[in-house]
Amino acid sequence: MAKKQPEPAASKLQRPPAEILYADELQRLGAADQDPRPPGWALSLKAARAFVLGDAALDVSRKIVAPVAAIERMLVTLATGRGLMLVGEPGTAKSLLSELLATAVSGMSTLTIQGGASITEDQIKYSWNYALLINEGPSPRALVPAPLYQGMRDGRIVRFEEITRAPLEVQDCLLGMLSDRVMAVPELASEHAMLYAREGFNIIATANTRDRGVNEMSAALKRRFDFETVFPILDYERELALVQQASAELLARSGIPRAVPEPVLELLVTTFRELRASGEGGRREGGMDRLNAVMSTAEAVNVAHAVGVRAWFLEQRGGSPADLVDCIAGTVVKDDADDRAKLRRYFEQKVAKKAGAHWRAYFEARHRLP
Amino acid sequence: MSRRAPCIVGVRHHSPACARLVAARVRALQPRYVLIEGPADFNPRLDELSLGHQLPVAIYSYLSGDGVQRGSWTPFAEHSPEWQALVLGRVQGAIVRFIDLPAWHDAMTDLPNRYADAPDAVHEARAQAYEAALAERLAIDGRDALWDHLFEQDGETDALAEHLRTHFEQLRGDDPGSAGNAARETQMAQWIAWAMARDDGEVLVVCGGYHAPALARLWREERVGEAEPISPAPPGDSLASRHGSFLVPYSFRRLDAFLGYASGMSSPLYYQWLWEEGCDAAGLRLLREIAGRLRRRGLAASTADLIAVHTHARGLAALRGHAEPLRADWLDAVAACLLKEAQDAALPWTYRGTIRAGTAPLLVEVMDVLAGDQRGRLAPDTPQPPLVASVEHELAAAGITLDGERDIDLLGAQGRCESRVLHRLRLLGIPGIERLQGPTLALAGERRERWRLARPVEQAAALIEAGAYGATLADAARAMLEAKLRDARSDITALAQGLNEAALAGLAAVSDALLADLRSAIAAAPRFEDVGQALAVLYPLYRHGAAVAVAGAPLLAVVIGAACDRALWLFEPTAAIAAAEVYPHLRAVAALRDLLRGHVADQQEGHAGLEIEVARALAVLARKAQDVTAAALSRGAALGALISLPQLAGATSAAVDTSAAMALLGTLAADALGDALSGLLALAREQIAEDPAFVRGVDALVVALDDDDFIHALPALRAALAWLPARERGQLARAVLRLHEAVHLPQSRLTAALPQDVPPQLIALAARRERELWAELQRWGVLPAAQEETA
Repeated sequence: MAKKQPEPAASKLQRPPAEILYADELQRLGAADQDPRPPGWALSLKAARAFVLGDAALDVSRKIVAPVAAIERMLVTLATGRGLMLVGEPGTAKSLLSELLATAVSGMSTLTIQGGASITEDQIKYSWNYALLINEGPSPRALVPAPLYQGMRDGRIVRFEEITRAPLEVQDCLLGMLSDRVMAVPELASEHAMLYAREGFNIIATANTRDRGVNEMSAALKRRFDFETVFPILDYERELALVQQASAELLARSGIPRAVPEPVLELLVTTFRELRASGEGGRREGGMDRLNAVMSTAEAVNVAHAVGVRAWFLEQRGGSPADLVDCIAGTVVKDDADDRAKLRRYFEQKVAKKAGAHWRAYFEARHRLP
Repeated sequence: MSRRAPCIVGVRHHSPACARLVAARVRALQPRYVLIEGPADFNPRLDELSLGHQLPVAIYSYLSGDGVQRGSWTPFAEHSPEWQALVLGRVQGAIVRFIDLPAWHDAMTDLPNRYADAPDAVHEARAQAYEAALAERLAIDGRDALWDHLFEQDGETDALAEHLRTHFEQLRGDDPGSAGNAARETQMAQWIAWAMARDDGEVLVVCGGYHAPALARLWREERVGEAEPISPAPPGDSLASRHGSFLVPYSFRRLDAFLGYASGMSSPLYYQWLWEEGCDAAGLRLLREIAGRLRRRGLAASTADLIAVHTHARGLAALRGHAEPLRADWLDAVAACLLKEAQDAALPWTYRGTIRAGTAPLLVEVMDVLAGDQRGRLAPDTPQPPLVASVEHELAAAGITLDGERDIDLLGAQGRCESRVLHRLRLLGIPGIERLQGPTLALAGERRERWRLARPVEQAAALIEAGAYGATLADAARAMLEAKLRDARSDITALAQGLNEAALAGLAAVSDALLADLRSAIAAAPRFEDVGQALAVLYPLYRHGAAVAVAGAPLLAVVIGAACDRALWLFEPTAAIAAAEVYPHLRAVAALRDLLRGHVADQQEGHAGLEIEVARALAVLARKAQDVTAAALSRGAALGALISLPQLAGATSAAVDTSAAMALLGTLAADALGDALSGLLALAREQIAEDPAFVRGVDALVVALDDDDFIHALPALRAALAWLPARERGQLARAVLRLHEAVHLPQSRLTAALPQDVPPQLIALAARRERELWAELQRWGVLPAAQEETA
C-alpha cells in the first residue's frame, strides 16, 4: 500500500501510475545512481531497491511494507532474466508491487496485460489495423502492437496481472518469449518476421491463490518463472498504522472530516489478524480456523473506509464498534454460510473474553451479524 | 599491577569467523595463558578434551539433589572459537583454563546451554532492538543474515576484530546485566586478574561478546593471590546432591537453533564448511549437497535450476555487497528459483526457533541438509557419562536385575518405583528393556506389568549415547520425552500418548519453550473427536494421577487448557457425524463434560490450577443444543451434558431438565430421534433415564410414530438404549410395562435377546407386512372386521 502524496502534475488523474506519481523520486535516484545497471535497466539494483523501500538520504518514500530480502530476490530474478511470478492472497499488494518494480526497472509500468477468461493471444502479442491490412496487406504499419510486443521491442518490463485467470493455452503463448526471447510474426516478411527482445525486457506476472491457482499452470511455463510469495503484513503495529493512514486518506477523498477512531481500528486489525489465524511472528495461536474470505490488509482498509462512510453519512459521527460489526459482516463475509458461522463463533468464543470497553461494545453488537 | 592489558576476544559461540580470529590471535600472540568461558570445575580434567574425540562433543554439567535438577551443556564443534582456543592453546604450550562459573551455580539456573546467544531476557530485548535498527539501516532481513553480513565474510582478521569489538560494545552499552551474569563476570574477571598478576606472558581471553566489554573493565578491580581463583562450591549439602561435569557426544542437530534447543547459530553443517573451506567453496558445497538431497527425495532440481540458483545467489551477493554469496544469499536464491507454489509459512531462515507448520517440504529438506546429521563420538577411554552409573544405581536401588522376566505389582509403592525406572529406560530406547504386558493408559485398572529384561551388547553403547540427554535417568528421560513431544507436533493423539508415557515414567515437567510449542500445536488440531479423546486421557491424569505423581502437573494443565479451548471451538460448527464417529464424538463430549464438572468441583474447594472458561463452555453447549442445523447426536449430547451438570444450572439461561430433553426430542424427525436419544443417554443417563416423565415422553413419541417412521427410527433407538446398563434397561422395561398396564408380563419380554440374532428391523418389517396383510384380508371380507391383530 503506497503513501501517495498527490503531486500537482498528477492531481487531475484519478489514479496516476507510479512513474508519474514518483517522477521526482525517480529523477533523484537516477541522478545519484553510481552503481552499474543491468543492461536495459533504468536504475541499478540498489537504486531500484531504494525506490521501492525508500531511502531517507534522497528523500525517497517507502512505498510498500515488504521484507527487504523478498524485494532483493525479486530484483535479482528480474536482473537475471527470469520471469517473476508474484503469488499470494488477494489484497496483499501484488499488483502495486509489480507496478513499482516495473517502474523501477523500466521507468514505466503501463505495459500491462490484464488476465481474464476472455483474453486472447492478440491482446497479448499483436493484432492488426484491418483497414490497412486489407488495403496494403500485412506490413509493419498495419501491425498494432500489444503490450508484450512493445515490451520486447523497447526492452521493457511487461506486467501480466492475474495470469492464472487467462486460459491455459493463452498462457502458454508466453513460453517462446520467455525462453528464446523472440516473437515470430509469420504474417510479415524478412527482418520483420522475427521480433527479437531487446535487453531490459522481462515479465512480472501476478496470480492470487484464491482463484484457479498456479497449480493449473503448465509445468513448462512455471519453470520459466521464479515464484515469490507475498505475505500479509506480519507486524501488528505496521499493519495498524497502514490501515489507519490508508483509510484516513480514503475518507478524506470521500469528503468525510472524521477518521475512524483508533480503538475501532484496533478491533478491526485484531479481528482480521486473528481470523487470518496468524499470531505474532506468523505462528498459529488461539485455536482458530482460517476464514474462506480474504482477510487482507487491503480488505481491512476497505472495511475501515466503509465504517467511516457509514457512520458519517448516516449519523454524522465517527465510526463505532457496532458499525464495524455491520461492515465486517457485509464486506468481508458476504454470502458464505461457513464463514458466517465462523465469524459468529469468533464473536461468541473469542471476542467475549477480551478486556476493554471497546471490545465489550464490539461483543454487545454481535446480534448485528447476519 | 602492570600497565599491560589482556587480549580479550569477544566472540559469538559457534561462529567460524570468530574461530578464525581466535586462531590467528593465538598464533600471533603466543600467549602464556589462554582463558576460555567454560565451566571452571572441569579444569582439572581438561586433558579429557584432547583424547581425540570426533566432534561435536559437549561438556554436560549437572546437579541433582532434593528438589533441584539442573543440567547445562557446553557444546563444542570444530568451528567453535572456544574449541580452537583450547586446541591451539595446548599446541602452543599455553596454560589453558576455563574461567566461568560451574553449571551448578545459581547464575546458570535458566541456562541449559552455556553457549546460547542470549545471556538474559532483558538483554535479549535490547539486542533485538539494536540489531533490528541496524538491519533496517543496512536493509537486511533477520538477525542471522545481519551477523553473516557483518562478520562471516572472508576478510582480514584485524579489521574483523575491530568490527566485532564495536558491535559487542554497542550491544552491551551500559547494561549492567542480570545478577547471574554479574556473578559470572566477577568470576571471569578474577581469573583474568590472576593471570595478569602472574605477569609472565601474554593473556588471551575468549568469551562471549556480551561479556567482553564488561571484562575489559572489571579485571582491574579484582584483587587476587597467587593461587588460582576458587570456584564456588555446589549449593546445599554436597552429600545429598550429586553434581559433576562429563563429556558426552553431541550432534549437529542439537546445535541447530531450529530444533528448539537454545543455541547460537543455526545450520551448523554450513558453518563447518565455512570454517573448513571458506565462503566460496562452502557455497558450492551447499549447492551440491542440496541438489543431491532434493534429487534423492524426488524433488525437482534440474541442472537448469541449479544454474539459476547459482546465478541468483551471485546476483543477490552483488546487490547486498558480499564478495561471495553468504548463507542467506544461497537460501534466498534457492527459495526464488526452486519454489513453484505459493507458500503458507514464512521462509525458515527469517525467524528463530522451530520450523513452522506449512513450510514447503523442499525448504524443510534444505534446512535439514544445512543442519547436518553428524554425531560426535567420544574417544574410547573417555570417562563414561554419569548416566551409565546413574542407571546402575537406580536399578540397584529398585532391586531390579536385568535377567529374564519380571512381574510388577503396580499397586504397591515398590512396584510403582520399579515400573517407573523401567519406563524411563524404555523411553530412552535402551535395548534389552521390553514390556510384554501391562496397562496402556497410566490410570487403567490393570495392576500388573510384565517385563522382559536383558543386557544385550548394544545396551552400554545406547546408555553412553543417551548420556547426552542428561546425567540422571530422570533428566535424560525427560529430555527424550521433550524431543518426542516436539516430534508429535500437531498430532494431538500422539501428544496425548506421549504424555501418557510421561505419566507411566513419572515425569511431569518440561521446558517453557516446549509448552508454547504444544499450545500452538493443539491450537491447530483439526478434529473435535481427537481433541476430546486426548482430554479423556489427560484430564484423569491431571485430577487423579496422584499414584503416578502427575496430579496437578503444570504441563498437563497447559495442555488441557489449550485442548479445552480448541475442543469448544471445534464443537460449535454444524457438522454431520459419520457412523464410525458416533462413539468417539460422544466420548469427546463426555470428556469435555467431565472436565467441566471436575473443574467446578475443584474451584469450589479452592483449587484452581486449570484455565477453563466455564461460562463459555456452557454457552457453547447451550447454543449447540438449540441449533436446529446441528446433527441430532450433537444436540442430544450437548443437552445431555448440560442436564448432567445440575450444579451449574444457575449459570445457564434456559431451564435444562427432562422437559428440555422432551422438547428437543419432540422437534426432531423420526430418523433423528434415536441419535438425539443416544446423545442424551450417553451424557445424562443418571439424571433422566429413571425419570417417569422421560419414560412417558419417549414412549409417547415412539407410539406416535407410524410404521414407516418406526422402521426408520428403530436402529438408532436401539443403539441409544445400549447406553443403559443391563439393570437399568430392566428398570426401564418395567416402567414401560407399567405404563402400558401390562405388569402381568415379565420384563424379559422386553429385554430378552431377539431369537437367532434376527435383525430387529426385519422383525418390525415383518410385523408391518403382517398388519398390511390383515388389513387387506379385512377389506376383502375374508376376515371379520372385529378380528384382533396380533403384534
